[in-house]
Amino acid sequence: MPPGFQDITLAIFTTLAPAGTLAFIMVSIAILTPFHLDKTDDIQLQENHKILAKLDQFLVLPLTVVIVGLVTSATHLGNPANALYLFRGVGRSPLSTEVFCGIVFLLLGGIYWLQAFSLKPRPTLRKIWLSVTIVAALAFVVSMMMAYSAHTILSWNTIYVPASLLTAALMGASILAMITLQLGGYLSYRRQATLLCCATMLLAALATVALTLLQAFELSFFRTALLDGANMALWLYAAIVVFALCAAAAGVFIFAALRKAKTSILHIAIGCIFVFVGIFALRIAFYSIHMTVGL
Amino acid sequence: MLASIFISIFRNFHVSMLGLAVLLAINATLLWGGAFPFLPMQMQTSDVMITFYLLQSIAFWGTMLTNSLGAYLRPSLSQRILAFFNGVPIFLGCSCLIATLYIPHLTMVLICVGALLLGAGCAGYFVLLQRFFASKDPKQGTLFIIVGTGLSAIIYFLLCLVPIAVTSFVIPLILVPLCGLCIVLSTREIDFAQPMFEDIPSQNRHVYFNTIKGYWPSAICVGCLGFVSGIIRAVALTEPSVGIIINTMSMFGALTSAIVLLILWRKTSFHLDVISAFRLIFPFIVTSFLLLPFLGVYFLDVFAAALYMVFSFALTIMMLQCAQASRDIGINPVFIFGFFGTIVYLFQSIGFIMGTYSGFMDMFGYSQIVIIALGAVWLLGMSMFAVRGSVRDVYSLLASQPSRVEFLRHSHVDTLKPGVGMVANHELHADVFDADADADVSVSTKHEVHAGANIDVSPALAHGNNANYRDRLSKRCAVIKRQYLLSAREAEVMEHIARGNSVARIAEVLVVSENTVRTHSKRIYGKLGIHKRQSLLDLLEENYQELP
Repeated sequence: MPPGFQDITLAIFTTLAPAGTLAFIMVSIAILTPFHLDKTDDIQLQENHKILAKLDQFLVLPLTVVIVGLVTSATHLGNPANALYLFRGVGRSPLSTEVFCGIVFLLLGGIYWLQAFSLKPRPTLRKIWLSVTIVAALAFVVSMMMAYSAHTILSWNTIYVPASLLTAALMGASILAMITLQLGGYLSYRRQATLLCCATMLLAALATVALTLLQAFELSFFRTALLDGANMALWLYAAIVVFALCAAAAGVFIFAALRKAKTSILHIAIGCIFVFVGIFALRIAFYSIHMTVGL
Repeated sequence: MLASIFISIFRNFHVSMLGLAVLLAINATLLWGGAFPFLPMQMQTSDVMITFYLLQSIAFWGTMLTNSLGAYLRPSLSQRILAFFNGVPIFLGCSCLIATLYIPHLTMVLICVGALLLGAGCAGYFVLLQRFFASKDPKQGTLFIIVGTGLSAIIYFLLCLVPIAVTSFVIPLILVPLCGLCIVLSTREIDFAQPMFEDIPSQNRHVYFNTIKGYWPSAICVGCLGFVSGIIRAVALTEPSVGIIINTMSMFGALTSAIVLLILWRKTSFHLDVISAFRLIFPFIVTSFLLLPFLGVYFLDVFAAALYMVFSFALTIMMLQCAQASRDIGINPVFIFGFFGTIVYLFQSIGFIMGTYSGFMDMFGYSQIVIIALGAVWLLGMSMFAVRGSVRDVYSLLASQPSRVEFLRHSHVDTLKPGVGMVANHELHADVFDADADADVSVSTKHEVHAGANIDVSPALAHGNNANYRDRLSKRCAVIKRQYLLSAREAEVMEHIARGNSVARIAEVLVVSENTVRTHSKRIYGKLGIHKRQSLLDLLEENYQELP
C-alpha cells in the first residue's frame, strides 16, 4: 500500500467536508441574493419563490456530502464514550475544534433544511438563520485549514497546505454547487451563475496545481535523519498528474453537459466524481508526506 | 423484470417509503439491536439488557394499545398526532442511552427511561406511517409499504458500514429527524374526509366490535410468530452471535419478502391467507421446538434466522392487512393497527419474559431449553386451537376466508372494452406500476360480516373463485370483478347495488357504516367508469351477452 493510504478515512474527510461546506455557502449566497428583475411581476415573483424553496430543499446535497465526510473520519473513534470527551479539547486541540465547528455547522444547517419544509413562511428568520449558518460554515472551513499547522511536522507546517486545501475544496464546491443550483432550477434563470461556477472551478484548479507544485518544490529541500523530502515530493508530483487528468476529464463532461439545450445533471455528476477523485489523490499524497522534526 | 420493477419504483418514489425504511432500520438497530453495540461491553450485563428489552417491548405494545383506544374514544385526537411529537421521545431515549456512558452510576435508571421512551416513540412513528398508508389508494398504499420494507434492509446494511461509535449519534441526530420529516410530509397528503377518519367510532360500535371479532385470529397468528421471536430474543441474550444473526436475517427477510411480493404482484393477482400461511408454517415451528433441546445452540442459529425472516414477512403482511381493513370496513387505521400491534407485541413480550425467566427452572432440575420448548409448543397449540377450533366452522360451508389478503393484478387493458371508462379509473387512481402491472390489496372481514353477506350475495364472489354462483347475476358480477379488477369487498358491494339494495341495507348486511358503503360505491363507479346504477345494470347485461 502506498504511503498515505493508512489515513484514507481522513483523506476522504478532507476531500468531502470542505468542498461540501463551501458548496453550502455558495448555494446559500444564491438563496440570499434576490434575483427577480421586476418586483411587480407576480408570475416571476412566484417562480422565484418556487426556485428558492427548491434550493432550500436541495441544500441537503452539500450537507450530505459533509455528513458522509464527517462520519468517515469518525472511524478513528474507537469507543463511543470518547465521542463527547472530544469537546473538552475545543480551543486547545485543533482536531477537537475542527469537529466541534463541523457539528455546529451541521446542526444549524440541518435545522435550516428541516424548516425549509415548513408551511409557514418566515422569511426574516430564515435569512438570519442562514446567515448564521454561513458564518459557522466559514468557521468550519477555517478550522479544517488550520488543523494541520503543527510546528512538529515540517512538511505540513507551510502556507501551501491550507491554501491548497482551500483551492481544491473550492473546485469541488463549485461543481457541487452547480449540481445543487441546477437541481433547484436556478441555473436556467441565471446563466451567469453557471459561468461563475465554471470560472471558479478553472481558477481553483490552476491555483491548486500551482500551490501543490510550490509545496513539492519546498519539500524537496527538507531532510531528516530518516526521510528525504526530495523522494517524498515525488508523491506530490504523481498526485498533481492524477489531479490534472481528473480535472481535464471533469472539464470535458461539464462542457458536454452545458452544450445541451437542457443542462445534463448526469454529465455534471460524472464530472463531479472526477473532481473528487482528483482532490482525493492530492489528499492521499498530502498524508504521505508526513515528516516530523525529530526523525 | 427486476430492472423494470426498479424503474417503476424510482418513478413512483414517495417520501413515505423512505420514512418506513428509515424507521424499520432505526427499529432494528436501536430497539432490538439493543443500543448495545454502542455501549461498552462492561455495561452490557444481563440485568441491563433484560431490563432494556423488556421495557421497550412493553412500551411498544402499550403505545399501540393507547393509540387504539384513543382512536376509538377520541378519534379527532388521533387525527392530530404530530410527527415531531413522537420524534422527541426517540431523541430523548437515545440521549438517555448515550448518557449512560458518562454517568455510569445511573446506568439502570437511564436504561429504563431510555427503553420506555424508545419503545413508545418508535411505536408512535409506526402508527403515524400506517395511518398514511391506509389513507392512500390501495395500489399506492401497498406499493409504499412493500418498497419501504425492502429499502429498510438497504439502509440497515448501510448503517452497519458506519463505525459503531458513531451510530449512536447518527441515529438521533440524523435518522430520527429525517424519519420525522418524511412522516410530516406524508401526513400532509392524508385526506381526512374519508369515512375511516370521519365516522365516529362510538356511533358505529357494531362495526368496530365486528372488526375485532373478525380480525383477532389473524392478529393471534402473527402474534404467535411474535411470541416465538420474543423467546429467541431472550435466548439470544446468552448467545450474542444469535443476536447478530437475528438482525441480519430480519433485514434480509424484509428485502426478500419485498422483492418476492413485488415480482408476484407484477405478474399475477393472488391472495395471501394469514391463517392458512400460519397453518402451513406451524408444523415447522413446532418441530423446530421439538428439535431444539436435542440439537442445541447450533440449531438455534438456523432456527432464529429462518424464524426472523418469516416474522419480517408477517409484519409486512400485517401492515397491508390493517390498511386494507381500514379501507374495506371504513374503520380508523390507528384503531386496527393499534389492535394488531398490541396483540403481536404483547405476545412478543410474553415470549421474551418466558424465555428469560425459564432460566430459573434450572434450580428445580429442569433444563431451560426444555422448558422453553414445552411452553412454546403449548402456547402455539392453544393459539392454533383458538384460531381454528371454532365448532361453527365445521359445518358452516359458506363461511368465507376473512384472513385473506388479496393482491389483484391490475388493468388488463386488452380485456377491457374501449371507452368503458378506464380513463375515469386512471384519473381517480394514480398509476403505481405500468398499465398492465398494477395491483390492489384487499382483505375480507370475518365470520359475522360474511354470515350476513352470505344471505344476499354469492359466496363465490367473496371467495374469488368460479364455483357456487348463486344465480346468473352473481356470475356476471364475478366476470365484472375479474375484468375490472375490483377487490372482493367492492364486488360484494356491487352485487348488492345490482340487486337493488339500499345503502342502509348494504351497510347493515356488511356491518359497515353507510359512509363506507358510499365510498365503496364511488370507487366501483370510478373503476367501471359509470355514474349511476342503471349503467351498472347495463354493463352487467352487456357482459352477460358476451359470456360464452
